[in-house]
Amino acid sequence: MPKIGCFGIIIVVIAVVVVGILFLPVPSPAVHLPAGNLLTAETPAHFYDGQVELEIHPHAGDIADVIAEAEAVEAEHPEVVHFHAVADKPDDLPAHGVYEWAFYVDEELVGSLIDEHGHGVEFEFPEEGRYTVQATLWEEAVGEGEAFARVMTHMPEKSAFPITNTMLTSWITVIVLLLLFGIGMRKRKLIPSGLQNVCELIIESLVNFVEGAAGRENGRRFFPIFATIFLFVITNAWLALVPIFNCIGWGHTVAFDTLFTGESEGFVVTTTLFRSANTDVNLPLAIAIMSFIFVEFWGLSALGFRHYMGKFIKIGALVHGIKGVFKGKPMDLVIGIIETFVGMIELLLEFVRIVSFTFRLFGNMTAGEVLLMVMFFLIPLGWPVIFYGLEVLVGFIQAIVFAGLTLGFAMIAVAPHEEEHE
Amino acid sequence: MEEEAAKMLGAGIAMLGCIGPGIGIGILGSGAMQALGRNPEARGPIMTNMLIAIGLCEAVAIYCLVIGILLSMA
Repeated sequence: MPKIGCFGIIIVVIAVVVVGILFLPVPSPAVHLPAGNLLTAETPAHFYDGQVELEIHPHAGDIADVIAEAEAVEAEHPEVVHFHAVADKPDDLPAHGVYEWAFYVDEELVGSLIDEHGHGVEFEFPEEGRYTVQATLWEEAVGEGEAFARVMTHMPEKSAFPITNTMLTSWITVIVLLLLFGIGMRKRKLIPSGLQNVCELIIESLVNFVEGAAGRENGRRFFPIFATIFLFVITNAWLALVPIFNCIGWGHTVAFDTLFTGESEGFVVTTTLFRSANTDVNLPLAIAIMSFIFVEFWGLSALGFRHYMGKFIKIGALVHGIKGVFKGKPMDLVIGIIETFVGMIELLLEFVRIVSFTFRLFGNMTAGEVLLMVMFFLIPLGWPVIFYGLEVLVGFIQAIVFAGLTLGFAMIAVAPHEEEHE
Repeated sequence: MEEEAAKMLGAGIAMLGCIGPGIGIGILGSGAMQALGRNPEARGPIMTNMLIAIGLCEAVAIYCLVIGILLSMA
């Protein structure tokens, strides 16, 4: 089958699937998988569009979740908003709770109201801005609760093209790779030295790996995708260890208790400016889909549509089995049925590989990020260096595994399926 | 037991399913090491096939991880 034909079939199948998905009424996902954080100028926790929900999570005590609801009074600026606290389960709120509502603008106390009977308070926002509302429940018998929320008195503009921090990092990765290879290969001497040597070392070891596994001509065909996946994943993983990642960003100030020096205030970053692109579930998914598309394309173009589909839809084995029943060998039918089901499972496995690739890379990278943060939390000096070493190793291994598995599945896909004829 | 607590416990128990693939990958690695020791020249095919087999084995561990993520984040 000509190569253009196979390519055309793949394009048609992908287009049908994509358009079909667009028209399906897909419900919103039940699981919130961590994607990148939007980099807008203000990233509020809750939007104010008539109703504000503040969740109070108590430090201690028996109150499970006290949810404060605000009913907005329609008014021009300045706006008056009514706050009162309600509980998830009505028994959880104490009968004689005293609430103190404090309103801050940039850590400066703007207003403070005390609600003695639990009816709620009405606060008039003096001007447009970004407020932090804190509700404290004073009740000695039950416990204390505090709430933090952000109320915006105006709706932020939604940007036309949302940029997330992981997207920004992946652009930086691309720039780093382009600079590395661009500057390295600028003057091409026959006997390389310096940066050109490094670039040639990288490319040559990758080519040796691919050709050692897949042979010369298949190796040349698989090499660009293999090298792209490997270099992109490893640069993403290693760049994330540079100190400016995961610590610079937007956040708010939090007061907390220290062990020996009493109360203290610290700045907590909630939305970071740079975040490793591999920790956004979209990037491993994108690379996995590309790897799937290319593996299927190589398989189809090497073997032709009929032969390649013959690996999964084994009608020949079933027919052979039915004929075998009439010839006195009933085992052939059993084998034929088993082969059919195995073929169907292998077809399903082709698609499940996308999920497996995605979560392998995503899980490893996110777990590494969480591990580093926990280790820094425990002993901030010296001790996390060990885990940086582990992260370097894990990044390298995950890149090799992703690219190597793509290569392996491609080799399986182009290998001709040998029929067993008795 | 509260719903949240049950979900967290379930996520933790789901990760016990990673014992199997861990042992499986160890067995695969051991087989590959022995083969490499006997025949160092066949390094290419041995490593390639080992990586493919490890990938398929690890996929089962990832199914457990997906259940854990689904339980703990939803």
